[in-house]
Amino acid sequence: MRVSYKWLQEYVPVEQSPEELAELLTMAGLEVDEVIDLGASYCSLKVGQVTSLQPHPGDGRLLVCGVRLADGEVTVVTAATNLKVGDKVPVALPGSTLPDGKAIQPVEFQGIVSQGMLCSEEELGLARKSEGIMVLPKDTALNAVLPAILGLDDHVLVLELTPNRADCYGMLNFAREVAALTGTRITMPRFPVQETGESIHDLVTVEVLNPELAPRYAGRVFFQVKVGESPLWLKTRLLAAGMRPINNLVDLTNYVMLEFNQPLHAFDLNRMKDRKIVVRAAYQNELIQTLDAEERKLNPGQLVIADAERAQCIAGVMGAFDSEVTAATDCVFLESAYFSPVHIRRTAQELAIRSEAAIRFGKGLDPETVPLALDRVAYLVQELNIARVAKGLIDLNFRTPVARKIWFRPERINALLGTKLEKEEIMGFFQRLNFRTAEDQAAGKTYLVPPSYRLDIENEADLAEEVARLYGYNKIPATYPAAQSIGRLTPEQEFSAKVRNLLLGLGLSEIITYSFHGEKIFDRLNIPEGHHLRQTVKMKIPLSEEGSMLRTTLLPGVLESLSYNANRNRHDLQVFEIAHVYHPKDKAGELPDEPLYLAGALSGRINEPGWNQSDREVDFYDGKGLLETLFGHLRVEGVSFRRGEHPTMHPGRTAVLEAAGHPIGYVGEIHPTVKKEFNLAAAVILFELNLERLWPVVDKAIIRVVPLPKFPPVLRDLALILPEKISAQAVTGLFREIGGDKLETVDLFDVYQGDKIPPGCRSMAFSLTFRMPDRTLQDDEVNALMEAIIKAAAERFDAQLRS
Amino acid sequence: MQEELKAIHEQAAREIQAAASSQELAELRLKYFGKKGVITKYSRILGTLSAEERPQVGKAINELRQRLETALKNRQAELERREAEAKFEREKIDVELPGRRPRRGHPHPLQIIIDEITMAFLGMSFSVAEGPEVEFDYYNFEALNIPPEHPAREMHDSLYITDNILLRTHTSPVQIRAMEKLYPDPVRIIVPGRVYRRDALDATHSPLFHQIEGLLVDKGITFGDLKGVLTVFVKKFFGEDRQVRMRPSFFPFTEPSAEVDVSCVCQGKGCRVCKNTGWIEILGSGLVHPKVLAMAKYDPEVYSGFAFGMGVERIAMLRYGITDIRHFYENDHRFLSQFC
Repeated sequence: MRVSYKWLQEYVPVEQSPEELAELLTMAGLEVDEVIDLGASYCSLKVGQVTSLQPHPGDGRLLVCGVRLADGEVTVVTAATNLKVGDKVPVALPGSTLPDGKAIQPVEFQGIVSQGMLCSEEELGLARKSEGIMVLPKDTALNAVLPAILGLDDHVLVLELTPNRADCYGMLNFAREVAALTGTRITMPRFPVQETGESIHDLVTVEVLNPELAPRYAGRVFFQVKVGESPLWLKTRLLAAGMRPINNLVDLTNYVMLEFNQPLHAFDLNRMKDRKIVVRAAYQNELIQTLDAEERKLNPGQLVIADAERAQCIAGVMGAFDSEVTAATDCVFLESAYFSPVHIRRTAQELAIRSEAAIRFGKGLDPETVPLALDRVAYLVQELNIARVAKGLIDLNFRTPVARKIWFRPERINALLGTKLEKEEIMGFFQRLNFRTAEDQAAGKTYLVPPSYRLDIENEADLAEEVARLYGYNKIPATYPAAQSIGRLTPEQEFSAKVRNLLLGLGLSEIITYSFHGEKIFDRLNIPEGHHLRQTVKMKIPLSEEGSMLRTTLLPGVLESLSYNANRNRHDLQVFEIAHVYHPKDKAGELPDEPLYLAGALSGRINEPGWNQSDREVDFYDGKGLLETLFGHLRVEGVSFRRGEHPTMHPGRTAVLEAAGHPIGYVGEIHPTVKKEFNLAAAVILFELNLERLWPVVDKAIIRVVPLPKFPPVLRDLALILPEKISAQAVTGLFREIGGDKLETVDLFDVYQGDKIPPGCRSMAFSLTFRMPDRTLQDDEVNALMEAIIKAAAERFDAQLRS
Repeated sequence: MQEELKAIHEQAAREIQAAASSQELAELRLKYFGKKGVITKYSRILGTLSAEERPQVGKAINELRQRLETALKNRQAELERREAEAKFEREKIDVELPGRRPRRGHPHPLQIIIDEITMAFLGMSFSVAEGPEVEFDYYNFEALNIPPEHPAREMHDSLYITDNILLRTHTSPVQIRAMEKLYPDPVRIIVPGRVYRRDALDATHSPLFHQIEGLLVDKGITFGDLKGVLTVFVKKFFGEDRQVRMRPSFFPFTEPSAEVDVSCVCQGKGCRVCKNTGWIEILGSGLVHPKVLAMAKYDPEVYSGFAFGMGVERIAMLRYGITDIRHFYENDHRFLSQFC
């Protein structure tokens, strides 16, 4: 929305500068984005008078003009033919810039240097198309400032209006708002209409078949229309508002639309078959060629204005080419209507048309303005001698008037705002805003009735906002509300925060990736058809090929991050993401499950590279160890790692994590196929687990300290040769079974396969610590335990002592 | 005899001082105090002397013994000190070479912002509430006073899953869920989370971004309370010297509504960040719309409340001088490693 500062002053006195007014409006909820000095782009132009005109000696199509300026004389070469000696013209001298940004420089035309340029209206941006150089009024002084002559010594306020204040798209409503804010009153323009000739009813018949979509439909007829160019003042008004002048009649309807916020449409009445105006639903596949020369196919959900035969306008959206006003037009039906805003929005969207009219209708208009706008145009066409106005006005109003009245309770408004304003002061604000009061004597209640153009005012909260706006948001005292609750995180929220902080401490960086992906990612992750990870929540209309479904695993984001960095030559990366995944429910209409997952990757070298660091790459045990440390610090108990399978991970180097008998996640080396697919060169270990399944196995009891031992330990090492299939966990379990409470700790310190070990076997070396809390253990007690352990290991696992 | 002893002392002192290693010093100890040592020899002679001579000579020998012992001990200490020094010199390393650096992970900038904002509100007795990202149309729109024909409800603006389920377009549906859960108790929550819009990814738009929502519902809550809470937040998060400004605005689920600006670091002098206005828009807020309260069963005649919401990406971009929103989701190590 562009507001001309000068135009505004025709309705309301403004003492504030454009910048001060902008600040005032912004602080009242009408945000001004920018204040443009409209004249600035014309300031470098001068007024000149043609003193001589000679044909160019080298080129008969050009003229050489002598031009007198306020401070000298220049020679200008022009191709224009409309000039005569004595004409005053706009001159652009070298160094100046035209409104379209064109910089003027001296140009040589076959030996004669043109020391500037004489401008046409088109070049000045005053007309879409113009012939010849613009000739200024005879009495223009040579030292006059061009913007002032053109009426462009003006400022434009560019507003970003919120949807509730669409009323301010009209200059008059906007002026009312300014008056309310500055405590002044507006001057309503007067527009007495002089009707002549025949009655409108003899000239046209109007029929509304769908009153629910066109609750108010009105029109006037103009005859002896003389379509031509608009006067300069009208053009500059439109230019300031950001519209291009077209012809006098169109410009006038646009002018009144800007003034009253009421779109108007002019039909060439002689081209309306049977001089009929029918407001009806379009026929299925009815065709219409709109003003933009597009052929459009309509449907019965769309409203049209038709003649006796066919659609001549898509109601409120765009007119038809056939009934457009042209230079040949003699008789015009001017429409002013109120259409259903929802309907217009839908139609405009279905047809992908964003016309000025459709935007305004779509935002909602004041139905009371419908006849006023017609009269305003009627007045102006007479004033400007464009046409004569036929007798009468057709106004088909199907609306049942609704009186919006809101109970006025000043104490409620004060209670909502936290203010202590007097009733009179509050009432004063509403008077400035043109609210009326209505008394209900019986109930002893006072009501406020908002003006018809304030469609946004519905309830007490709206009243409170009006008061706050006019009083000033920043004058309302700040207070602090007492709390009855304590602010804290839930234990689950604390848990995920702890996971995050532990992983950061363990050297992993946090990543955030998209929650969605395309179908293709499953192939890239080596996830077979029919796998449960492929059962996704899908978007009805995908965002893109890569955004069509919600993720069931965090691994795509992790792998894409690795790939992104690898492509930028960063192969060492330790990352994690904590986020939700989405599992569809079996039953339709239910929301999916959104469990919180943790996933991550270790890739490349385990150590931060350096001159004295080992270059060892990560392997499975780095990943597993990371999780073991994490679990230790989270006080997770009872998670076991078993040989497992995940399609994205190496079949021989993957563990499934189990808690309480259920799988809760995986850790493993990346599957070589996936590694290749993502173009990864360095070693990659992946892990993913369901944090919500981990939480139940966290020891939540408060830590109770175990007393430090008072008696010395007895240490023993034991190396066993065991069949490969026997797990370290099983062996440790056996130690614990026999060692009982005397066995304090067991550490596996070596695993070996190769020379001197039979094939199919491996050697595992453990160090065992025995201790009793209440006495010193004797050697022979421990010896007996060790013998029992060795014997049991031999019997149960076929273990041999390694000497 | 005295003369002899004196000569021995002088020679021994010279030899001890000249000893260059513990080994040489041990040899000297043997030479003077060993079984066949010089001092030992004199001690043996002592018995052959007369009773008059004996005490005198004995005393002299004792003195000599003590002096030499001291000299040996001192020399020993001196040599040990030198040997240690030499050893340290041999063991020296170049401390100017870089050290071995343990890895420390980098937090994501969006999470830093979320955590800081959360801390600020925890301190004002707010709790953290969460809700589903895949949400019913009812919670995302209808219960928030966004009518069916509202543009945001169009397929081309939001990401729908079915006709009435969509990816939430803001964190506001959690307002309704929290009120439903807590009614008739007071509500005092913030809601951080992911939200979704049908936007093409460019430098300033992303189909996924993060919001933090706040809601306080209780008896007698005023617009002044909203100002108070947001002022505390702004001063905690942005700095005590920052000012807060509120401007009327429009949101379907609040009335009166306010846009909240924080004063720019340029202190009104004008800069690119605040586009020379001196103010930066950071959040939208307002009193909870009576229709929204009523939908969640809170009687607007008895209860009132306020809500506010802000974009995490926007705040992170302002704070860290990030000009492209895509950086947040690319996870480029060169970007992430700048945060700690």
